[in-house]
Amino acid sequence: MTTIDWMQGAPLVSRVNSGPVSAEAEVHAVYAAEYAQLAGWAARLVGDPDLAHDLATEAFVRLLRHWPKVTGPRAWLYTCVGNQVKDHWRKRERESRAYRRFASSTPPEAQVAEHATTLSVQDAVQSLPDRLRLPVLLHYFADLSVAQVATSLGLSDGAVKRYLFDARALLAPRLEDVR
Amino acid sequence: MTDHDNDPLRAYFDRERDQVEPLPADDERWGEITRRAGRRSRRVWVPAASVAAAALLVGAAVTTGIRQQPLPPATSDSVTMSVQTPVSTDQPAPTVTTVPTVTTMPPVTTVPESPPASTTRRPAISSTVPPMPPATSSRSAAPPPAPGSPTTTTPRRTSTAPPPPPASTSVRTPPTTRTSPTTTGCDATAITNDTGRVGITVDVCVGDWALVSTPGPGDTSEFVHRSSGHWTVFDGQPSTRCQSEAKAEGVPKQLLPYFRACSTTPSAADGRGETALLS
Repeated sequence: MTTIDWMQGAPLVSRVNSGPVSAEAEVHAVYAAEYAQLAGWAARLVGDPDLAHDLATEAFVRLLRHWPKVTGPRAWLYTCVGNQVKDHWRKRERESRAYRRFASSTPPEAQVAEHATTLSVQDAVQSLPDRLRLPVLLHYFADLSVAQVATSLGLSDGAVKRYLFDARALLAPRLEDVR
Repeated sequence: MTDHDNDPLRAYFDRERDQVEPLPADDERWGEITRRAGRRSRRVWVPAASVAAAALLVGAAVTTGIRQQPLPPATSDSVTMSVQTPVSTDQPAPTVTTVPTVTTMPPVTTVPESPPASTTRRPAISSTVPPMPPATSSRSAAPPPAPGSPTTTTPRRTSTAPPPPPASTSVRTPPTTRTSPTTTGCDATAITNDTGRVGITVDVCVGDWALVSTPGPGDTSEFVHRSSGHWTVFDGQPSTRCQSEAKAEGVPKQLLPYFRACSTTPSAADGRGETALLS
């Protein structure tokens, strides 16, 4: 039960003073509770279980290194993976843009139309401007609160709400089409 | 959380989240995590230690250089300079020979010698040390190679073109302000207020443009731009924009290297050109 509490972001005073051994034990507890879901979450976004494992593993490596400073491990982990996913998407966008130049047979509009009836999370979030992606991922898909998203991204609550509002305005019509 | 009763995104993402299939978390993976975390934290010390060592070395070199320098009263006469250098040197002949070449250069040389940033910098001393005098300049400025062992190179410097500006400016930074145009002029508080980011650090500042970052996991760097006194987020870093696009949108050339190098063909109808990766 207490585990759940600090997973949600309450600062742990005792944790700050703990040594490296107990830090490892504590992060292991987080690992046991969160890793599977986190990796699955990432897999849904990148469409590749191996890559998802890599991203989640990297997030835990960083968590272990920054453990004394982390107050909300769950939010921290999802933000970390979210950032990596975003970077991965950027790389992929760059590659596909270059590829599209050479494979010009199918116009991009036609490709989009083919997938219009099933909108994946990846497509939905990627259709948003860069600045809106992470707030949407964390708030809606990782189910973090506005406050947690704001803290994790270094934004004010108001800024997060504004981003979510903008995202709703952009995505809602697309989701209507999909249904 | 906010009120999501009629939030279409909430329903969609809830549904999608329910379909997330957890991936296995085994002990082997945990072992890899602890191994990698340990290995990395050890690695952090290597560059940190080398930076500290280098700083110590430079500090020691500068202090010894300052001690050895007699610091005469400032006179703009180049003749006094010629007297000064031999006193300060511990090495014999070569420095003495450099002195005449220094005196041959008229006081005019002091101006081009000190590059833009340093002209205002040392009013009294620069007059005493006209065109990069041998021992003093290498000590007080403590440039790259060997601060304690000057000799040879000085005569040539005085007669030929001015020394490479970047080296001298960076070295001369400490005494005065001015040489860090990188972060001045971009008020982090103003950017924080305008963009809503919290805890902003200005990494690079060029006029109305800046590269800022916020504390947080992962890559949080962003380009911000000030127009009519208001800062807005221009793009994330790394950006998918090409340098040509960025340039067209007003990004200053100092920040262009952060953007992608693409070759541009002017054929596209939208006027932005098609882009392709160079490599």
